[in-house]
Amino acid sequence: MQTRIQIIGLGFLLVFLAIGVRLFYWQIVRGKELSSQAKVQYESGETISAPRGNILASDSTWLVASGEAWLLFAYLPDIDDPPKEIADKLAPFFVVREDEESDSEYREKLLNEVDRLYSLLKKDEVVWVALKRKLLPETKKNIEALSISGIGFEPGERRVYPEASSAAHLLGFVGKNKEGEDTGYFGLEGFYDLSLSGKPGFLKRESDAKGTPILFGGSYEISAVGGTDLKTYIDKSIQLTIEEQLVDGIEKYGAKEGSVVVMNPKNGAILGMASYPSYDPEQYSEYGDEYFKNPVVSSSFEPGSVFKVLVMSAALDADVVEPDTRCEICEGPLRVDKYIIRTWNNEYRPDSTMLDVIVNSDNVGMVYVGQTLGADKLYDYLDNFGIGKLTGVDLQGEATPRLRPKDKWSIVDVSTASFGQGIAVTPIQMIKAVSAIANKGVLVTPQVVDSLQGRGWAEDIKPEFGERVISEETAKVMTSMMVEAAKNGEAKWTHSRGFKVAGKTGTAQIPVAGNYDSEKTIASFIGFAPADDPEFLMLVTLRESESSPWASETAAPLWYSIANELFLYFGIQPEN
Amino acid sequence: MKRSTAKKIRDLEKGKVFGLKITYFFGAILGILVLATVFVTIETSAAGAELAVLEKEEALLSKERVELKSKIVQSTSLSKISEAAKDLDLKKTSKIIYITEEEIVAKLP
Repeated sequence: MQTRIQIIGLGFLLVFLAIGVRLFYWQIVRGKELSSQAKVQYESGETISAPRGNILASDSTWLVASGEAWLLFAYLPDIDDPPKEIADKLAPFFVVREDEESDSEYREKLLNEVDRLYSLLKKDEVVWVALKRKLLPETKKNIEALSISGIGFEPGERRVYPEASSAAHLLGFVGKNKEGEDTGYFGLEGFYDLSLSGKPGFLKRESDAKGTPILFGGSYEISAVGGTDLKTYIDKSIQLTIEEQLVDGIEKYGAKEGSVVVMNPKNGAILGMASYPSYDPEQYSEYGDEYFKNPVVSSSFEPGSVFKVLVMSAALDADVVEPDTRCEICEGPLRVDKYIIRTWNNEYRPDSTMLDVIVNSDNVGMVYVGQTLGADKLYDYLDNFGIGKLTGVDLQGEATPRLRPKDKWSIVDVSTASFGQGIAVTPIQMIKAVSAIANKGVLVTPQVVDSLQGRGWAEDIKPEFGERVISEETAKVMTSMMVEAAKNGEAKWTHSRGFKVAGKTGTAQIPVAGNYDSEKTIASFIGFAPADDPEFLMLVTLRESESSPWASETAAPLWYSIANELFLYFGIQPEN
Repeated sequence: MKRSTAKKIRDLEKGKVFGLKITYFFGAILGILVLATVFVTIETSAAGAELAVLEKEEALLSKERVELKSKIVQSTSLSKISEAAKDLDLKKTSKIIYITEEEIVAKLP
């Protein structure tokens, strides 16, 4: 009897020992692992999305909006259908047929897409694979209707451009950085990337099998901070007008490239900015890098005669000439060192006044002005006008050609710079410099964004006025000279009668390998209206026009064509 | 002797009563705690369920907001309005005639 009891006792002991060993295994040996597995089951973590800020026009309508998009993924262990079949089903959703595309071209694109999807679905070393990003909600619905097992969606975000490719250079685009995160490049997207980017939040908490939150359980939350909206000065009506007119002008004059900038010279507000050729920011990956640079802020050119207004303003302000001062060297071509300087039409007017020099865009007369002013003063004034310096416009990618050092100006440099050759500027520098004439002698920094707007707060970005470059009186005199140039200069045929426009044409040769191309030119026209109390300042540039090399026959008529629409838009009446 | 025994018995009875009282007291507290725990558990799980419903509702409203915003964004597109205007055969003003006020054409007596 006692032996039986001992055997039973030993049995119990062994059983308890076995249970103890097993418990030790589960609790101690695999405790951490199982605990973390259990945590995964009852603890859920999710990212709280923070949408990127919108970019708004001056009327608070959207130029760029943040919209809904989806990432399509495949969880490979859950896939039941053959990968080829799935690829065949999905590919047509991702291939868009272009209007001019032939059947064979479309078929080839489709087969390439099928191959791409098939190779992703056949991957061995992964369980999760992204098949397509930035899908539209409608496409998601259509794919969901196919009920393919192992295929799922993750919420994402895309940029929506209600005005299509309008103002593409100005806006920039959103691409991926090295870490695969959305990042703004070029234009406003690049410059204000930090403000526009939201900071995603995170929510971690315990929930039951049905996903209902367990309030007793631990939880912590990092709130998401949405991106800031940018309210710009861009006027959609002006923007669309200048884009339409620019494309028409480029076609009409057979130009290779062109740009138009419209600014309010009183506060530096950029009302419109267009360049052609352009690109579609929504499909940026289909374009080469050369399309992304905004020529208005990134490309420099020798300005030619539009630069004369700056040099003449400097000479007037320095009191070395007056509007009725007579040119003493204007009787014929002028030799400077080993170069001969001629007028654009090879016509010479001895005894030209400074007003005549501007009206007739006389290169020899401007050499007289430049030489009378002298290298040092010319340099100082150009420096004060902001030539050779960044304008400070709030767009990514601004570049500036350097102004030759003050002590390195030869007589040839002074002479050629006087009529805008041998010196380079960007269109935005030119606009900023001329804004000083339109704005009674005070520089103003070009500015695209009016205010930053968050949830329940707004921060106004005040106009930035620079120093006085020329006196108010000089600005007034120069304006009246520009009015005469617009009325009676070589572009007088295209002048809008009755309207007081202050303007100047410019035709510059293009430097090629240390020399100038004999045929190719950059034509430009800069002007503001109404001259006495300007509503807008506009610069038009056309590169390598085929119809005529002269700005008076290309850039000037385009400028007036746009200006005529702006007169109506701003309600500007003729003088009488 | 008898008196002291009786006193002892009384003390013992008193002690028993006191012990019983303590037991009831702690029993009652325990009962209250159990009930409170049950009540709070029910309340929190109900609140959790309510929170889940509200979160679902919020997600639905957010989705709706995104859809409505998308519609507004598209409907305020000036390019689309321009296209619609072209389809309606509306044209931009091409020739403007400005009227001067040089002469009075009618004058009251």
